[in-house]
Amino acid sequence: MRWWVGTGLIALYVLRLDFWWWNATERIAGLPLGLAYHLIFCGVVALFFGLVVRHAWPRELDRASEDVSRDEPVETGR
Amino acid sequence: MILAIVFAYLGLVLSIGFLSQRLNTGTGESFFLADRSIGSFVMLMTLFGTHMTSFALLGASAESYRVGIGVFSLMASSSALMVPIIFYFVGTRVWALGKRHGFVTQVELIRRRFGSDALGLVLFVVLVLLMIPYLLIGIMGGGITLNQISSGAVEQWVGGLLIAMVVISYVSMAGLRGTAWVNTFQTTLFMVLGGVTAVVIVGKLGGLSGAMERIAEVSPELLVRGDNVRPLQLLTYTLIPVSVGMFPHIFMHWLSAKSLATFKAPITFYPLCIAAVWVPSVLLGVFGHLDFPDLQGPATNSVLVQMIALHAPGVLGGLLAAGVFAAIMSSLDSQSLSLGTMFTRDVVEHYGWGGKLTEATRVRVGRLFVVGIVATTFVLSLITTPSIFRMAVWSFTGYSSLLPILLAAIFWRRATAAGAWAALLSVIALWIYFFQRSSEVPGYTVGGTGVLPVAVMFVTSAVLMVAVSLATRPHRRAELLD
Repeated sequence: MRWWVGTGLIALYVLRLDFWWWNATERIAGLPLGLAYHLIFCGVVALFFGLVVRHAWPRELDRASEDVSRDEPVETGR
Repeated sequence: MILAIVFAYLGLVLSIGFLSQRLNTGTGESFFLADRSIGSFVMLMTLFGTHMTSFALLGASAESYRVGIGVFSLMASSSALMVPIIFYFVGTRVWALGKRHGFVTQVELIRRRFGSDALGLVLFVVLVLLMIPYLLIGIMGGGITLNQISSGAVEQWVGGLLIAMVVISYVSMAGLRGTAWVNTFQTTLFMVLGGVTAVVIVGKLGGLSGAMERIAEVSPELLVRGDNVRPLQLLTYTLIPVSVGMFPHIFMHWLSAKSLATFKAPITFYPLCIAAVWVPSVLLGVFGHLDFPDLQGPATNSVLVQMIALHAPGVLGGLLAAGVFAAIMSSLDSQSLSLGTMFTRDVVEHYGWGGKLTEATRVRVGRLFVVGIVATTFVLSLITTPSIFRMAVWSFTGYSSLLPILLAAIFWRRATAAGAWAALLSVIALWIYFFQRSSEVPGYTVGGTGVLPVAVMFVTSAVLMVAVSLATRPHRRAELLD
């Protein structure tokens, strides 16, 4: 796993735990802050994973799945 | 009019199932895994539709009616983060192993990896039992929807029966391909109609700002998390959506992917899909206080449907009811098919009942199990109370806690069967214990701290998996990971 993927995931995990405005009553675009923040959070997560699939795609799994196709049948029956 | 639209919708669903059935080749792999040929867009839609049960619409609005906007941070944004993580790290690897070794079910992978028949059998039983409340939610959600939307003219059991019959028809006819196609249609429908519902109802309530002002006057506590959600709940709820990694129906859809690249769209767009469905549900649940301020107990489960019936009668009401049906059936179909697949592969075929099955017999057995599972669920729904909606979290708790077994199986060569046994038995024992405690104490958290039982169960399962594996001899089946 690339370093920036791990770092990004940890950062996103921390950002999700928004204890800092637990009782905030302000509104953003008509939505309560506690809801608007998490809506934006979903967008940020999507952007992050857009980068991940572009720059940190596990291509080795594609090769692994094709190296030996069905090398041994699944055990069915005794 | 409403019923006519619902029936027309169900007819359309059956037509799609029938069309897709014509592409099946008659083999077990075609019926159970659509010949591993599902592309990116269908994969995104079918995974999302399968994961979002009626809980995402009816349950989320009911929870936000009780708890307020904190439900989104608790349940939706945790899924928006954790589900793509599981798809990226676990789904892609499971797909590669499945393609290489021909796996169709989780039990096949675990049994082969750890070389233990008994472990596979007990895991099979646990996976099936955890699925029962999940299936019941679908059937009962359909019954509640039709009953409420028709103002009580259609009894709950009729709606449940209708859903059961339609699902049985297209799943047993077209297998996974039909399920995936129908799910794509249904997911698109419930996402669009969910948005339309919110726009129409919020408009009738005086617009977003107007409705917010009114809620701020009558129930301001619903617009903040306050005491309704506890910080440790927010922290530990993160472990609930990791259940997606152990759901048999999600596992089955992963294996049906055409290529590794098929996973890119689900991983990237899942958080946006979550937001698109949950924001309207949460808002409508909160705004439900404006029209129905005194709902208590199980009656809160129908707050969304009651708002639809009040604010959007006629054609729009029928379309919106169809949207709720879509959300329900897009989960129920995959769940029943995955259990049918498991009974066929993990029990009938593995234990050799009836000898070596031909491809045609294999498909026939799978169909029979799908019919039996859905029919049994319908009968159970007649004798179960609506509080079953609360069972959803217990279903997710169990699946989440089993995930360390799968993670060890596919990532850790040193993992042993003894370690998997220890983890599995700990999940069974702790699930029973915590379930009993929660039935005695409403809103139970561990020691009253806000820590959800899933955190204790997941950590115990993971620690035992590691500790017992290190204390026992490694298994030669680690070669599976080469």
